[in-house]
Amino acid sequence: MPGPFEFEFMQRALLEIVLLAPLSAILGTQIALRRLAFYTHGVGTATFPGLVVAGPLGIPPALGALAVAGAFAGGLGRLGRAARLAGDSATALLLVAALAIGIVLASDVYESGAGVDRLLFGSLLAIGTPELAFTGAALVVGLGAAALWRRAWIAGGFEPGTARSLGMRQRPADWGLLAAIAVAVVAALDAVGALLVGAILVVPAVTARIVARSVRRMEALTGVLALIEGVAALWIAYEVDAPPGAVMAVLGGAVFFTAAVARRLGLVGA
Amino acid sequence: MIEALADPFSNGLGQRALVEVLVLGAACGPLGVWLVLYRQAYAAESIAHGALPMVVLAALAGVPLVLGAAAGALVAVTAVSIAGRVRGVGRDAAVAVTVTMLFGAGALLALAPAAPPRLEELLFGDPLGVSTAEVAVSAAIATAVLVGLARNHRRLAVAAFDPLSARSLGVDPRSVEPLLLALLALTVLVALQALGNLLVVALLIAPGAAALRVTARLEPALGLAAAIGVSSGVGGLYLSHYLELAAGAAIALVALGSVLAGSVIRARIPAVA
Amino acid sequence: MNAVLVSVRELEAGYSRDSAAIRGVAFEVAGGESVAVLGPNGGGKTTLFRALLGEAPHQSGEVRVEGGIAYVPQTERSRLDFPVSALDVALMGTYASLPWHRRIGKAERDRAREALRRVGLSAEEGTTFGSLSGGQRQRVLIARALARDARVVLLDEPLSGVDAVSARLVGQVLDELRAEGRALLVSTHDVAEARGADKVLCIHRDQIAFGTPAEALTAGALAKTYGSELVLLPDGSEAIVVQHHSHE
Repeated sequence: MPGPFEFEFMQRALLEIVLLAPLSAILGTQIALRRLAFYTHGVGTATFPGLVVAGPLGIPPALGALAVAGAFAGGLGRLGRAARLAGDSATALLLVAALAIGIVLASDVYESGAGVDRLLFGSLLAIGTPELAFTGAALVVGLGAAALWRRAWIAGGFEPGTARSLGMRQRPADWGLLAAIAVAVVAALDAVGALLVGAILVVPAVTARIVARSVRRMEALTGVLALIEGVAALWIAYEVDAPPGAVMAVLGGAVFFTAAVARRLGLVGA
Repeated sequence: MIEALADPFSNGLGQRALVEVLVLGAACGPLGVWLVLYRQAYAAESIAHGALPMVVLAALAGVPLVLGAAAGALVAVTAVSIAGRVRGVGRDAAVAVTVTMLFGAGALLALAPAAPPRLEELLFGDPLGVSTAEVAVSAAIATAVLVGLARNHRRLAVAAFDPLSARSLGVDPRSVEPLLLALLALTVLVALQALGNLLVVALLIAPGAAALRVTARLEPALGLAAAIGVSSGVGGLYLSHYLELAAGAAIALVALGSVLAGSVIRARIPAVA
Repeated sequence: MNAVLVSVRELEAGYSRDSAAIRGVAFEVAGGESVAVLGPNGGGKTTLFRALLGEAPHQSGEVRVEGGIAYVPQTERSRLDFPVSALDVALMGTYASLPWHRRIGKAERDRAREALRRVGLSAEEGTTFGSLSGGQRQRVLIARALARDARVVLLDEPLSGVDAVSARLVGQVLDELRAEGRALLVSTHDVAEARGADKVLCIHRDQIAFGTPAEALTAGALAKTYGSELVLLPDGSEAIVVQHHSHE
């Protein structure tokens, strides 16, 4: 009986996770430290209408998603300033606007409602060579941004009030971080779906935060956790025929609460 | 003209939907003003998401969805507060972890082969599908939320404006956030039926944000937000009826449009501020 | 001699038991008295106020306050985006004496308006709080404390960053409050300002001195209070740099 990873689509999914894990290490750590979890979730959700229209328009889904993610990040700053809304309200409003538009487009214009589950929660079968190439490119972007700005990101993380000014700062390092996260979110979409990008980009880093005492260790542990949880999720998703993003979300949450309990009992961490 | 206005509500489905959105808008609007002022938009979004697994279980077991939603909101609030107590993990990250986990679990349950094909209805809601009993429950809960807001109005205002001075003004600031989350959880129960898991936040945040654009006074903002909430619901039903859009999405879009309208009004008539 | 309205003994307070921000604080304030609470930024003035309000996360010792307490925070700490007018803020001072089921009536409104008049802001009662000047916002917060009608009033650096007109009006209102027999505690890091009070409490983690300005504002006490900071001596215009003494 062949193991799951003997199939070509599973090998591609595996390679996808291997490429996403270092992205999670670099950017997930910043997301956890800089309180950008809601932003990350917002970008992920906002890509939904881009994915919906990409098919019928004949453009690559990643491009559609990237365009909407970029519009989301830019619009967030504008909406926050123009409407003088706190970052969280602006994020919530843009996110739900994107969803509502996506739903209208999906169900009423393109009649492609059947694919909605796959777009929202990811699929093992969605990962082809173009998707892998995009994730590879996202990794290069992430590494490049980190090389340029990692120190500025860490310094900025200490500054109180950063969370509130989320995305509205003009500083290039902050914008670079938000842009790199948006690209990483689009890369993660195929595997985990628009609603669950946090499963790979946020949850492993928050879990690492419980035990790691330095940024460097937190990054290393985040990468390892993302890889192990991702591979395990692929395997389980294959066995039970479920969307991998949903499996990884449940698995990651279970690991988080286990680590929290272990830490409480003094089994791990400082 | 009158026929065109009355047409969407000519049958029982439409009439029940109308009452449902009136009740919903009246509760969501004023609550939203407080959610915006207390910067609780993420909580609003996540309590709805986190309730999904219990809602799906309720659908699978054939019990009323409102019971599942009640259990789900309770689970979500509890899990978030437990995760938030882990040292080194901020509230934002705690919300992210628990909600991702619960939402993933909900999706797994909903997409399982045994589940009835109702996931999209649970995610996006359907005000046209509510029963008379559900409307009655909604009305009761919405009334409770409005009474709760009125009863605690001064406490909410003092603690949001100036938490340091709250105690000297006779208010315990620590009691306010749990109160707001409890009212939020109640409102989510009602809103889930009409707007579904993903769109609840539109009606929770948009009317409040829009009202705060137009007026710089608390009491007028609360009244205006209720009016915007109600009109978003009714306007969304018309939009849905005549353009054949999904009703939940149409309501969300009208509510969101009110924020843009609020900003335009503010820009045109600076005197209202 | 007026009755003692504030009495503090062996007070220790801070964020946790391990890191007390202030300790060994003991003093009394009678009605009609003003006390300047003098110390550097981060020296524990705000923690002392929070302890008096019963708000410090950790506190031990004895704190007794008679006749209600009103608090005037620094205006930078209040929210400028909050949708309230000057009158709305002043009305908050009446909330503590108003049961929730009773609507705000003419009596409350009159009380709030009278408080605004006393701080010279009758004309601004309809103005949004966030669009007032810093000095005007400070006066609105004082009006809220007036409407609260408490016997004890705490003011957190009421004159810092305030325009000359506001400073004069604030000083006038504080004199009136004292004349009405209320006890005032006014935090400041300005030695010259402290000299105008009836008593001075010097605080820098520990209580360094408490007494009349002449008793408390000695060169030694100021050196301890301010460490190595530049200090203006109370008896003249001479500026000295005091070497830092570690209290650890």
